Amino acid sequence: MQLHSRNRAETDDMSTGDRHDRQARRDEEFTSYLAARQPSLLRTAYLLTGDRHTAEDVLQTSLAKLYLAWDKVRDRDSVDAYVRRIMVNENNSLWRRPWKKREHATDLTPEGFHDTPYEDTYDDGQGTALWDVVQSLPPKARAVVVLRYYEQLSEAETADVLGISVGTVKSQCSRAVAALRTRVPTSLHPGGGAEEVR
Amino acid sequence: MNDQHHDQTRDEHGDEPWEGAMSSEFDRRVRDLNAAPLSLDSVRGKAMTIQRNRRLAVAGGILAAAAVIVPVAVAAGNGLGDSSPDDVPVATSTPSATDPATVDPAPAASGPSYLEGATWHRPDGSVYELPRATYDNVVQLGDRIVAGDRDNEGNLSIDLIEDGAVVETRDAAGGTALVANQAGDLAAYVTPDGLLQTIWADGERTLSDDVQGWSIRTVVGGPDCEDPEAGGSGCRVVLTNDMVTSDARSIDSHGIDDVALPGTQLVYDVDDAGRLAVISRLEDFKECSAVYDPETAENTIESCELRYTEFSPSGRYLLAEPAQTDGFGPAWIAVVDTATGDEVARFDPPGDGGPTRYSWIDDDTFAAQFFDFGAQEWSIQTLTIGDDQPTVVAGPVKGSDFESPFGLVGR
Repeated sequence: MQLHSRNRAETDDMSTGDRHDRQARRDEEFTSYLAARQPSLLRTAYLLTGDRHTAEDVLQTSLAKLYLAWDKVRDRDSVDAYVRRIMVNENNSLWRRPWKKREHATDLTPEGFHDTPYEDTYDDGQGTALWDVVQSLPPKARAVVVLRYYEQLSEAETADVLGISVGTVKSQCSRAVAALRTRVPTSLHPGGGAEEVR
Repeated sequence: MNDQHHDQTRDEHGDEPWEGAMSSEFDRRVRDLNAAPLSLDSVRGKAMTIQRNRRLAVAGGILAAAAVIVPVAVAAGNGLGDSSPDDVPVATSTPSATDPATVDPAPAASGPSYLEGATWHRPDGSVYELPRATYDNVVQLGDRIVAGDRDNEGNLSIDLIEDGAVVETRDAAGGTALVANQAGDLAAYVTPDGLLQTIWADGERTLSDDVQGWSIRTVVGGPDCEDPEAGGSGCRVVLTNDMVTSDARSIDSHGIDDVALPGTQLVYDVDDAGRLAVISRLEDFKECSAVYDPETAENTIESCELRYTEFSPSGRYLLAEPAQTDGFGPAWIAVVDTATGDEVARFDPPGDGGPTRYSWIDDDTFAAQFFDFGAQEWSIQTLTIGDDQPTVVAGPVKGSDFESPFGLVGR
């Protein structure tokens, strides 16, 4: 027995048409967003993850989740914040997976895989030393410093994105700076180590 | 460098130089990174995978729980396809309140089971006030209730409720679900440390201690999970691997732990006769579904247009949704005759929306939790095969697409 066969074709046309219209609108809006924001989001993803390949993976997953929730994020001004939150969570979740831990348990770098995205030829060593320390921070601490010092979010905005307290943001930043002071060679400290009290 | 030295340094020079150095290094690291490697197609493809995995992860729980089954009286009407939410008949029975302290251990079923905040609308039309408003599934096992409580992070805990109060809370593995058998008198869940726990009215049993990373798809048998050779009724639990990297497993009360069907990673349901609703093969983004009969060792029906998801209690019918969805979830649900593969009914309400949860109530009636994107309204509706028109049992109620006021309780 075929239910609603009397008007089935009409119904399908109407329902399918509505959905297609909605999807076409969504895809058009989303494509515009991708074109405008993808490079910026990829930069943030790179800083969060530390390598280009993982950054693209995290960004793809985050954008896919954004796509699924596109109609929910009605305030278009808040879309970047929404994606940043997903990227941070995705990166944290990657670190919880056993294979990721195994991957980071070794110092071996895949041969021939150098993904440095910048072409700057001069570094007195400070940048590399600082980057090495930042890369060694736990993912949540690293997210704090990336949002604070790259995205230039306020402490309150950073806390909101990460779902933590402002106090935690402050303490994480403080610990990150302490780690830099301790682990970056004195000669490479900002100001040439002049800040050191002797 | 000791702590005192640190403090002196910070006091005299502050963190600003380091903060500035980090900003500069971050900018330098990415300033030449202007790539846009992702296309809309690649994002949509990933979105479809996420959608499918979400469905796999929560299918038991979202569609799951107490299946207390009896016929539903549904008014017939005119033309399912051209009706509107305003002109579908609304059930007029008034639920009767039930004192949580005097739980009816076996409510006579007559309609859909669904949650509305802390209120459980039970199949017999009575309501039961649960201790929390955050449950997404409930199962009544004799005079106690087992409820799955999922938080916003996806963590799941299992509450045992007696006389209206939580008497015990247990952790369950996040991303899994509390799943009941067809009769609603046996349930199972996975613990965070990988135990497969079954629970029924007056007992429970750990079937396996090695299911970490696996999710329950269906529970068959009951009303207990003791070995039939020891006088039990026996049960079988089918699980799928969370990463979909291994064949689905079947673990039974006799202690047999084996692949459910060699070469098959995704099993959606198993009926009492042992037939399996499976994903038989993948074609690009499309999944082909089949019903596999172990008696004949062959697929009896197959479709690459429909995804077979849930057998009716007798196994005569299957609920099915479109094999390919667009990110909004299925737009409609079909009912398929398992003997012929023919579609015999379709729940396809007008407007721009679709069912977000659905489950059989009895062998020819199912319930669906429906969201209308256009009207931004939620409702619970039932449809009986042979009737032209669904019945709105609850709602419509205004709400966003991620905040349903209802939680349909199914198997």
